[in-house]
Amino acid sequence: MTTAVADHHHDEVPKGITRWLFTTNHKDIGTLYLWFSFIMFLVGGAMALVIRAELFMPGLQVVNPHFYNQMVTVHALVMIFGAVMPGFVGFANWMLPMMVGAPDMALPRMNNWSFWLLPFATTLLIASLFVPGGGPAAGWTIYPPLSIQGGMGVDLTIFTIHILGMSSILGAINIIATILNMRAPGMTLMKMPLFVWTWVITAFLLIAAMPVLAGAVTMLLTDRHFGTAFFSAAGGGDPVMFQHIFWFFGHPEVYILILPAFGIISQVIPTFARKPLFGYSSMVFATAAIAFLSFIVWAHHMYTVGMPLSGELFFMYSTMLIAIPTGVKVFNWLATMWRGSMTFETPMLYAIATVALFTVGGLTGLMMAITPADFQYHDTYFIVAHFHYVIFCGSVLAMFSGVYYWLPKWTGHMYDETLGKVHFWLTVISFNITFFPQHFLGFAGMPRRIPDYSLQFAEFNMVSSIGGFILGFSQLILLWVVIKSIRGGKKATAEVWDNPEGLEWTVPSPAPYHTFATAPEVR
Amino acid sequence: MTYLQTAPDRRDFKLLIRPNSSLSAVAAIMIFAVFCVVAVGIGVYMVMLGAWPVLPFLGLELALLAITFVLIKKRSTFFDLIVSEGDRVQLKKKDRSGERELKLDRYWAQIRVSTGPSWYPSKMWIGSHGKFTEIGAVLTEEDRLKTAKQLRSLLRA
Repeated sequence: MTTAVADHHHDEVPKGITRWLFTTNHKDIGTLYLWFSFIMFLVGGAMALVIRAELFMPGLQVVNPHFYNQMVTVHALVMIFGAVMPGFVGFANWMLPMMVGAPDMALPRMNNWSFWLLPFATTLLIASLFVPGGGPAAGWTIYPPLSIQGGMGVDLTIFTIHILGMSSILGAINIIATILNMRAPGMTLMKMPLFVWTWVITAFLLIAAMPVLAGAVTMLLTDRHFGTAFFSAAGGGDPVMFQHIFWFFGHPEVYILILPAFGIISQVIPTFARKPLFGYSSMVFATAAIAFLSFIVWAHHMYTVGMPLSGELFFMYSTMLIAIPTGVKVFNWLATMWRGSMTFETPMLYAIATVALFTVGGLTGLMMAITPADFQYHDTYFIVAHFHYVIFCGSVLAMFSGVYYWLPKWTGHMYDETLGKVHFWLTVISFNITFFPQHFLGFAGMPRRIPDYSLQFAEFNMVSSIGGFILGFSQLILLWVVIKSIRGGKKATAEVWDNPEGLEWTVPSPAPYHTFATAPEVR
Repeated sequence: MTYLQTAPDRRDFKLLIRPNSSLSAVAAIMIFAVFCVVAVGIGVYMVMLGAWPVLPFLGLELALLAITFVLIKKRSTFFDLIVSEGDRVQLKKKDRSGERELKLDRYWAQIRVSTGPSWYPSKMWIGSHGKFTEIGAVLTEEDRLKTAKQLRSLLRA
């Protein structure tokens, strides 16, 4: 049992790339996730600009229809699996251990592995664009029969989804183990910050939903290459079964993308309203209720496939039920702000924009929940507008809020508030220029996933494209703000903001490489 | 977490070092059971649809989850128990290599701490005559430094 101690100092500090390749430190891995997410955000954004350039005018100008379809598909996959999900995992890595008073994640080596699976997976996905037959072109839902008929790019996409799923599941297991087993003494479940709660519930959703997607794409693969006929009508299979399975994963996935965002703004709003979060317990139960309901609403994505009336009624009512816990949340955020001593720094501006604009997306969601109405909206630009209001305004704006909120804690320097506000206003205004007209396009009957359109849609598409380009290039301001804050600026205090709540504000800024030095006791 | 018991003269003492574990074994079993119920529910529905290839993925995931829970619960049973009685200091230790004991002469026993470069956590060692054993690996950084100081003072008492 005894060990000869020749040298009491540790090995050499890894320098350069080895530090990042082999790191098991939650902050390093969080940083890797966040940078990866931002790079993917730019890659996916560039694809969106190809789409908007093509749609700037009627007719085929920039790309051919097949490549257009590939851009639509890969843009969505990159944004969902490469940008938004890893972005939130980055926040989780950086903040969760600090928020629960743990020194690191429960399984640090697995954490490293979870991250390094991502670059391989997304490289495969992007490489699919360059193989014979091109990338996947069936939309991010990869519905058969189109996906069964696709080229080798679809196989690469299937492998990508498997690897990304593995990464997500490992990450989710790690997060559950950290939150449940490594909380500081005294931190009971109902004392955990809302961001921690939303992540524990998100991790449950990931664990429940991901194997379903893995099974679905495996069946696609065997249909493509091994002679099975799960989804091929010619072989006795059922293409609609894929839709059921996909959306059984796909709808919880929407909440996987949105719940951590709710957690972030539940941290930000109380800080800048200078009031505790209104209705903490109801927020926790509302989050759990949303998670539960997300498993019983999947068929609202496929009202038009020909379901029995009873099925349509069930999914219509269950979908509408989601508005209740979501409404509770929106009410609680507003009640937190009510008569608060509010200030409007960039994180707060983004949080308010999230509440306001996500609610727009939520309300259009309610419109689509109504089965007969959805027959009109289905597969139109109304849907495109709706889910961008939900995902961009719900998830991405909340992420921006979180970046500005915790950036001083990460870098030790305050960010440039003026540039932050310029970024905010450009983003929010250009987002609305891009996506609000798409509601009208959808109402007027413009179908989604088409590279060319009727002349009657020209004006709104032109406005939308101009907004899209402003939105895309505005994000370079965020890059500049972050780099500027890393390089220097006004030193941030430990608290950074005016009396914020949470254990992360008890450690110095930048947070030391190893927190918590002392296991904090929560009273 | 450290738990210290000392005699009134502070010569004899018992110091127990254990990892912080906020998840009880019962809670771990209950949470795993919830996952199993959800997985079985999803599995049954998928089989009814004809999508049985989902099952191996559900099973694999449950296995991973079970391994994680077993691992973290096993880790929570690790301990370092340092007992000082008279002139003897005894260390009982349980880690991933199993349970072991070390006996030291109190007058020769030393506590060493290697601080190393700032981004690595420190390490604490107990031993004498050039043979040392690591203790307090489960502690957080400041707790480890505090415990080292405390142990040195107790051994000198």
